[in-house]
Amino acid sequence: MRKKLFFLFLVFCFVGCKKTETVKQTSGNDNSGDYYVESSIGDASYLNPILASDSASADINNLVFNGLVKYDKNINIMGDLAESWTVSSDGKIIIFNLRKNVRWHDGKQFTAEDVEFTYQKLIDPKVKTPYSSDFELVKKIEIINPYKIKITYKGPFSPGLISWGMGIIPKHIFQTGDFNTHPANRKPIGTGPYKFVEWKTDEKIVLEANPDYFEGPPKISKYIYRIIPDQSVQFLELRNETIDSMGLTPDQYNAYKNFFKNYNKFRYPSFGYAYLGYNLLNPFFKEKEIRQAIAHSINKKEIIDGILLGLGVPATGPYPPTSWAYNPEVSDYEYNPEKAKKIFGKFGWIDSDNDGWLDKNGKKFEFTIITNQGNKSRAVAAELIQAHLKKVGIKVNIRILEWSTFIHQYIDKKKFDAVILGWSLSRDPDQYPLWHSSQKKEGQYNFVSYENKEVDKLLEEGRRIFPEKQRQEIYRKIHKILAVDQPYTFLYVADALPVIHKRFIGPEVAPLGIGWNFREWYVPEANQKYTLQQ
Amino acid sequence: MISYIFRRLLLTIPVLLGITVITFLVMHLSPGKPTDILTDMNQKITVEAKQRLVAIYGLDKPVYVQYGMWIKRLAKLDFGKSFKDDRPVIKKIAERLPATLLLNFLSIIFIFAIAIPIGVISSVKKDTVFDKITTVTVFLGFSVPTFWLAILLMIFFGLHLGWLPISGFRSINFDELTFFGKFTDITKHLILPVFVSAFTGLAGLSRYTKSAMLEVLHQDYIRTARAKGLTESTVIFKHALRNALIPVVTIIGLTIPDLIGGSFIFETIFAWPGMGRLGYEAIMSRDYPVIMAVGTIVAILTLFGNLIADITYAYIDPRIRYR
Repeated sequence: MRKKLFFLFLVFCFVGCKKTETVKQTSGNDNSGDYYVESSIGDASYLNPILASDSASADINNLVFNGLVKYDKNINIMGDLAESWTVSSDGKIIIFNLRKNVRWHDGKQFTAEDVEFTYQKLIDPKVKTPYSSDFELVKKIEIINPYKIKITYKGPFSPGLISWGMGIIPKHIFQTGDFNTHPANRKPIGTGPYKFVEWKTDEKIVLEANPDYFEGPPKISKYIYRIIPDQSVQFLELRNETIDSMGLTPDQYNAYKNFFKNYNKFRYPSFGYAYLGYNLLNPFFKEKEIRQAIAHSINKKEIIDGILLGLGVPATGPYPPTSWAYNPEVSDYEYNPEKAKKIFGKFGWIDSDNDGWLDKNGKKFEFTIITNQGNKSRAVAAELIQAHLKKVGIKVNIRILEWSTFIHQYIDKKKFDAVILGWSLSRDPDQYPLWHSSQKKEGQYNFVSYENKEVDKLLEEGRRIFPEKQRQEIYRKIHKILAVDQPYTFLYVADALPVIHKRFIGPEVAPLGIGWNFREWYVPEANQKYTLQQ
Repeated sequence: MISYIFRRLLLTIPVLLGITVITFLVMHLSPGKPTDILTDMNQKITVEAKQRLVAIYGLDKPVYVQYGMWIKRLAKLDFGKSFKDDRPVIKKIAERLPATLLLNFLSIIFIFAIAIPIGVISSVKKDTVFDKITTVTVFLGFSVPTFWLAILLMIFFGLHLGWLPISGFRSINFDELTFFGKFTDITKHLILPVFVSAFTGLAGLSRYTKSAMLEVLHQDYIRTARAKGLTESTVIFKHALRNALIPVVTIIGLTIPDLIGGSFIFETIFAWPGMGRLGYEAIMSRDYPVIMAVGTIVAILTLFGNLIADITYAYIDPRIRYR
């Protein structure tokens, strides 16, 4: 403990691992070339990282823009536009040292002024950004010199560091004209490995390799993002080899082998989980032992086999196995209806009138699970849980509701017994909005009304301190407590199932996922499919 | 006639206003706000950030105020900006119009070119094998689910034979092609969607033509024409068909909004960058300005189509006169 406290007060200084890349410029035969064709269900909205909130825009923005920091393949923070940074001992001040060799795609030099400008836009009330929350905790921002910027927070806020992974936008482009409707939102100019070429609405977005990229140019010369709004048609295009990659559904993944003879299949746990959340204000769910007994009555394996065809793992707590906050010591509740019945009995829930359902003081153990329309796996999960709980004598009703009614009339107003939903998580393990007892108001995310003083303290501490080792300890504790308390019964972590055409060399699964080293992927010259014509 | 047209045009104004009021109301009554898509269940977005977005979009004002603002803009022919990407709605529509017009125009031409002859022949040769086969075929087309037929054809012609592209409007190397190459590229992409849309749309028109023809063929003047000793083809095409086509004109008028309305299922399956997807996606994401614009334009075209049908009626049928 002393040691830990001592660490708390240390000066934390990270130096982003800066690789001095010496890109071999062997003219011609360096295997660069070819296109990478990807597909998406929906079109992008803004090619501006500050305004966009949809995944299609994010896919493009991640290639066109850089943040100050980013995650390496093991989800550790490393420098991107920042070469290194220091955090003051009280955690309130972060100083970023910026790279000096970065140019915008139009040739202008990147400097600290762009960072300041990006921040100003993020907190500008006229800007339609959904990301203001993290940046409103910044007290002030000062440019020390063109390549050094000092950020002062109102209080220590460690998730703030990765919030600077937000794409930095060019001041010289955006300083004139209205920000929300700026033409550059459709013709982005960034610093990233790929440059924008064209965007044909609802058809495709085309990017090309940036030859002046500060880490060296990417090998694949063009990136084409096709919009194909139907998943089964996407799959046909994949079988036809007209797209190079796609995220599969479990049944597509299990399709005939020869569909994939030209593709490499990958499989890794996605960064999110599905859960059964209990309204803890409901008297049925007041005791954690009851919730644990319900966890014992739910056969997660059957749910995973039924919904994901086995392509997933049971979730034991609020972190997926690929997160560094995941606590491997937490074991799952084994499926054991007998044990569950005993626990219910201990709390007075027995089938006294022999009608097959548990009751206590003349009241039947009966509740309703609600979930949203349009998500088949959640509906099926509800049905399976209904069947599992029937075996122990609990009557479950299911109600499926249209999304916005579901959220605004039921979840936000806490008018539910139990709910099946999923979270897709950010890589940073801070889950303050989900579990802190101050976050129970209407529209906030602790809608199950969870309250645990220790978790509150740990969540606050996790936001205050920076070193990952110590944060890991904190979040692993949270993982363990939540597994015991069972405010949710964590159901499963589905696998991400991407396939990538075999001609691409370099894709590698890491905790971060699969695209983390996209810049280094290449196609040996003999296998190249598309050639650049001028 | 002129005064009739003028009166009809005047009448469309209150009808159109009524349509926009109802559309606006229904749109606001349906659950959910445009900002929900970005803000619901997103841990990174606080309640304050949500409210800020609601205020920026003007959604905190009463519905009648919002409608007033919309009408005021419309009076200046301004459909406003899309909530999704802040671009002028009219520009978004203009971008998608060519693809939709091309597809629908072609398929309507094919429908007319095929359905009318089918209707004529099967009425003349009523109860023959030809009549029975075409009846079954057009109804097959009418009842088969479009997406299913489309996917089967994609698998056969796209995947197995490799003759046609599976989806999309043009190839990814389109810009590098010559003019002739571009032409064949788009043609190839058009074959499947036009075929599916024409095949599934034959039933209505061919049935209308058939029943109209059958009715006409029993008229006394047809018997007279035959008694005069005219050839069968003159009787059918000159005397019968011209009279039978009068009700068909109504259908032509009603297809005008279809020309630009687009079909969501079609455009989604074929990854066609058209109006149907724009409208559908706008509805799903509660993009109010786009919903209103598409709704208004389709309403205008429907009213306009009806007017055109009425006017052509008077033109081709001397028995009808408007005052």
